[in-house]
Amino acid sequence: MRKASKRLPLEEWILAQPLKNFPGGGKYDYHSRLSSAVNYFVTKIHPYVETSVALRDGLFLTGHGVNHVSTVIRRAGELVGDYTANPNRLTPYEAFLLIMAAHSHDVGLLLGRKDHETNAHKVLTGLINLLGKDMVEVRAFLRIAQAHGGKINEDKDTISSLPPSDYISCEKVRLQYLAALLRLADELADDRERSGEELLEHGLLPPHSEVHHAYASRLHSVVIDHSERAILLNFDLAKSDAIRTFGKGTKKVLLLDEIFSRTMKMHQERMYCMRFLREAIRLDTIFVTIDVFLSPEKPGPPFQKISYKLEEKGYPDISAKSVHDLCPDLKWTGSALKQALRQSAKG
Amino acid sequence: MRVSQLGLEDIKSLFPGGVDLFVCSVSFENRCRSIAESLDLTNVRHALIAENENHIDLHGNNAAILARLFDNRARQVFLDTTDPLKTADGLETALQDYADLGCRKIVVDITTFTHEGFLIVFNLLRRHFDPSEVSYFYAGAREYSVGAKDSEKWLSKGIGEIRSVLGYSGRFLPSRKLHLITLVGFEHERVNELIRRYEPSVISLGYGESAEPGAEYHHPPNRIGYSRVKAVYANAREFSFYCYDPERTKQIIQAQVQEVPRTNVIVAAFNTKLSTMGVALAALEDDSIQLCYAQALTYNYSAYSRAGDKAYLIEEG
Amino acid sequence: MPTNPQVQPNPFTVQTPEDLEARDAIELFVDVFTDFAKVRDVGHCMVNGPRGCGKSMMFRYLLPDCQRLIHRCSLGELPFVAVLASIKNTDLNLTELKRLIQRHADIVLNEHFLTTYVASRIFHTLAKLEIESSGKNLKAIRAFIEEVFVSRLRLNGWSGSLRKPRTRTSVTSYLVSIREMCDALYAEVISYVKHLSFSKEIDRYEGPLCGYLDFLYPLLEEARKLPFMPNGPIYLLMDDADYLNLVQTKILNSWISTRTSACVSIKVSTQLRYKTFATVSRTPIASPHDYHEINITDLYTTSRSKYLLRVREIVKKRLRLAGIQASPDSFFPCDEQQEMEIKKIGEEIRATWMSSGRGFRPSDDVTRYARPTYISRLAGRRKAGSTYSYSGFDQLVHISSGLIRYFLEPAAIMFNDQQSKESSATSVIRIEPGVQDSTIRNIANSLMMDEFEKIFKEREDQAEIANLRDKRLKRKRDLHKLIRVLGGVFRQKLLSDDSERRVFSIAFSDTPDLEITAILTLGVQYGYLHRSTIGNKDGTGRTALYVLTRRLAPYFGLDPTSFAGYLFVTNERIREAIENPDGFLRRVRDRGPGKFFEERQLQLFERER
Repeated sequence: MRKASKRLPLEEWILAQPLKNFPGGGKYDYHSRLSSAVNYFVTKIHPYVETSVALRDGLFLTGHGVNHVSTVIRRAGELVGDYTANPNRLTPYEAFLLIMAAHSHDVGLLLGRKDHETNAHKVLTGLINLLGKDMVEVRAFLRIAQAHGGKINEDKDTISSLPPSDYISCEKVRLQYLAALLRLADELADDRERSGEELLEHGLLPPHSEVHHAYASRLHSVVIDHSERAILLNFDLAKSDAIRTFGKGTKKVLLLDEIFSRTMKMHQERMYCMRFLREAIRLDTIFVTIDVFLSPEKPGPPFQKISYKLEEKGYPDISAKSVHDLCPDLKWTGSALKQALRQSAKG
Repeated sequence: MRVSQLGLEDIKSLFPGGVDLFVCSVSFENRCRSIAESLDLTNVRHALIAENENHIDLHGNNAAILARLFDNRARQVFLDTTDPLKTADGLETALQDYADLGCRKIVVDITTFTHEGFLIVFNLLRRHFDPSEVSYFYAGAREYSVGAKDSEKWLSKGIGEIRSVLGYSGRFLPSRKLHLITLVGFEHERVNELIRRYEPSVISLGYGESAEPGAEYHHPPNRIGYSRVKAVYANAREFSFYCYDPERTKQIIQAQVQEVPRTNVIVAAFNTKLSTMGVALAALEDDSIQLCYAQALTYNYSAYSRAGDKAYLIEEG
Repeated sequence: MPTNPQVQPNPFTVQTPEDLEARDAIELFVDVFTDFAKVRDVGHCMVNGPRGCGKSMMFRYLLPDCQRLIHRCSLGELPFVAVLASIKNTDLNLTELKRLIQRHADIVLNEHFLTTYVASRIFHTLAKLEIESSGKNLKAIRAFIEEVFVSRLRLNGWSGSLRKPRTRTSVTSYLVSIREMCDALYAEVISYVKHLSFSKEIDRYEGPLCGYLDFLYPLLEEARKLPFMPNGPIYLLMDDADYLNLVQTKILNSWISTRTSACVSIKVSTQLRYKTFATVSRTPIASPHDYHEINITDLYTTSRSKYLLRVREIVKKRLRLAGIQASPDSFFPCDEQQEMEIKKIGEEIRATWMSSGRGFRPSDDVTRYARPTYISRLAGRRKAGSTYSYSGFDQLVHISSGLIRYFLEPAAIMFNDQQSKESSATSVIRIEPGVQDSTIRNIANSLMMDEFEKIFKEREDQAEIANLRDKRLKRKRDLHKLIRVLGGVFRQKLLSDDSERRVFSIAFSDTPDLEITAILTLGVQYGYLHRSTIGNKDGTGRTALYVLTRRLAPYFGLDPTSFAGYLFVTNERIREAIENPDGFLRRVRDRGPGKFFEERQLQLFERER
């Protein structure tokens, strides 16, 4: 559990900016606003999110509490890259709004997952005084949070419903840009820290959410490489992970197939978000590496190293629906791997 | 509020205590100099000369002449008939500076401000200075639309943008009907166009009182203009107002508002500046009234007016 | 100088449709929905047409009080519920709002302003409908207020409490309380912007902020479920949306771009000066993908008989309501002497048809040549072309060029002038031909001279086209030259010996270039030209037909009743004409129009579309 006092790099950066760089030109203390708001989220809101969802909907989601939010904010900072050197990447005020939006984006889960993005309003009603009564500002970060997933008016293109930018107290704020940052950061925040690994190991998770936790726990690193314009994902699979099935809703799936499916979604999200991020950030590729080990302790080289690259190439191929469509050289499927491992055991 | 008519030659001896600030507006009309040239210039400490930057080409030498009158005591402020924010900000900055300097006795020549410019400067003056210390002059014209027959007199034509005047936005409620009050002058065609654009539920047409001193000469063309508006809008309500008495015009406007209660009220002033002052007073007392300005597309530059030798002095307190 | 209350009221006085009682609105309205089905059908639409063409009357007719009378049913049985949000010039477009541009919350505050305005108008409309206060309705409206209206407001930052209705046993009272709350929210914005008048600093806005998707649409979605509401959609009628400022226009476009028309259809009327089709996210809305577009004048120039009938009906009704026992034709009589002379010429033509006739039948030649010959003879006779009289109901209708306002306003002035001629005790029962003629001529002269002068002086306000100001001014001047040329050429045709002399339109045999197209479009926008389509010269498709407004017929001395012919022109000819209109007209006069243009006759089987 993250302690309220431990600050993230992006937060540290904001606190290091002079107040005159924020709206009001020094009239408003955005440093203390940030600190008190974050503290409120960390101590009063986040701890109750998961429990509330489990009790209400019977779901056991991957981590949605303060650790997840920290990861999202960290990822957002990594996506932006060196924002200190390149002010076009993020202004101090935009960073402030991004952090507020990150804290707000899953808070609606307190009222249940269905339509959780838009429920953030209800939960934050009590926070409006603490965050400053400026409804223009509050609405701005809530709308950024709202666009992080789901649909708005039955349309999945939630970011386009925002204006590209608006002005708040004479500061230009790139609303679509921030929403895309948050959305992609959230997509990339499904890693080990989010998983209920212990519970999974002991089979204590509800069957319908097993695969989500398995996926998260096997994703051991997410790296944003700006020089290569790539996102690097590294998975470790033990044999036992690869040959068993995991519950997903009412079905059972193989983990490798789930990785393919989820990384494909990530590719889609990357393409979508890049539309709005391109002015300052370019990430064109997702490199996926999956190391499959025979032994759980993973000594020695992997049994199989499966890697592939997800990028837009050639003439846009809108018919591509799967990893195998985009990566025709990729021969592996969940069944094929299972087969290979079983045969290896016999041999 | 006291209104007195006096000869231009009598102005020199007014204000024995001196004038801290004189404010005027440059125009294509030579009347823009009448008051300034009549003052005891040695008694004027500061002068603020406003000029619509987008009409500079039409003003001839008037700006230079006015500036020369006041030498280094003059400060120029640029307004713009197409940009009310620029007009307001320029005047606000200048008047604030003069207020900070301790100016108290203010004399304003309102003759050749546009109606919008006048409404804005009138509002600002009341915010920065004690109204009882501000004197307004209006230089009368011997004739408008010089040389034209009564039925053909015109001062401006067409309506470009119609906008609410900055500082007089009113307090409207969407569920209420619109009551448009207009003070009609020569410009019947513009009044008709204004009514067409607004499509108000209630129209109140004001015509200048014929018995008012000073109004006799201008009354016939006003009457023709008025009847042309009534031809198309026969259901309009009617009232008379005072072209040269702001206080009474203010009361009349307030009465018109009360006679049609629970409406959104817009007042459009197409008559004299003094009657426009009355309209401004009404709107400042009752901020639910909106004042609108209908920007003219073209002015009768070459024959707008012939300067007279009299002026009106308006003072409060 | 008040007018005498005993004076006969003017039957052609302009009345705002919004203020008409339902019965009067139905009485005065002439159903045109066979033409404008899309306005009545579900789906967003834009109705474009100059002021006075009947858009507002159409919207008035759609409102539930009129629809209930027409269908003789209750509110719940109507196919839709329309609510009118009439955008008056400065209701929403306050000068103070300019302070927000590129400074603070321009989009979000304007959307809240527009949302609360529309919401107030909606509940204002519903509150006037005298909805039955049954137990079921009362329970439903109370639940709606608490669970939907107040709840939504709180979601958007409102922390107040709703004022209790004046009486708890009336549905109307509850609707009024909702309306009052919306009024209060709207007024809160005005209070905020008032502080911006002369202040360079921006204050924080601490009130609630409501938008279409998070407030208005969900509210209306639930309002439809109230037991007294019909199952059909709600129509939001946004009248005169040209008066919205730029960002408000973009916001409205964003509303249109949402896929909500099955529940809430937005019908927008414009006077062809709609500021932009971009949304706040900068993507444009387009027809027919996002909305249906209806251009009223397009249809009326091509459905003349319908328009003539419509005006006749309207005038009949107005005369009847004013207690005047006269038909439109007898109230607006033509110049009998003139018509007798034209008839005599017609008989001469009929008599010589066998030997020198051109048409298939004598009556064809009479129609084609009698009036032009009369006009031509007037022109030859001591150059007295201006003595042709434009009086008579039919001529006045044709001159109005498909826009009812251009009939009613001149008629109002004529009535007033006629009234001035009569004694105060006499009621006006007809307008003398001389009065009709002089009024219509003055208007035509003003249209060609004063109105153009104003057009030249108009300033383009929007920043996006500031750099095109000079280009636009040149284009306006070119338009004036084009109109002069067209009028002059058509006049020459009328006086010529050509087989078809009655020409009022041009079509291009080649493709007009971008600049010529822009000039023609400007002409349509300002109402000097109407646009239609006709089969192209090769018979392989259709091409645009540009019709000169008949309001200029008196200025150029043309026959306003002529519809038969049009001239095929080339882009080059038109350019030539614009570059030197006087020289061009001189050459046309000297050599005859036929040397410059190919005439075509509208065949019976050809239909303008």
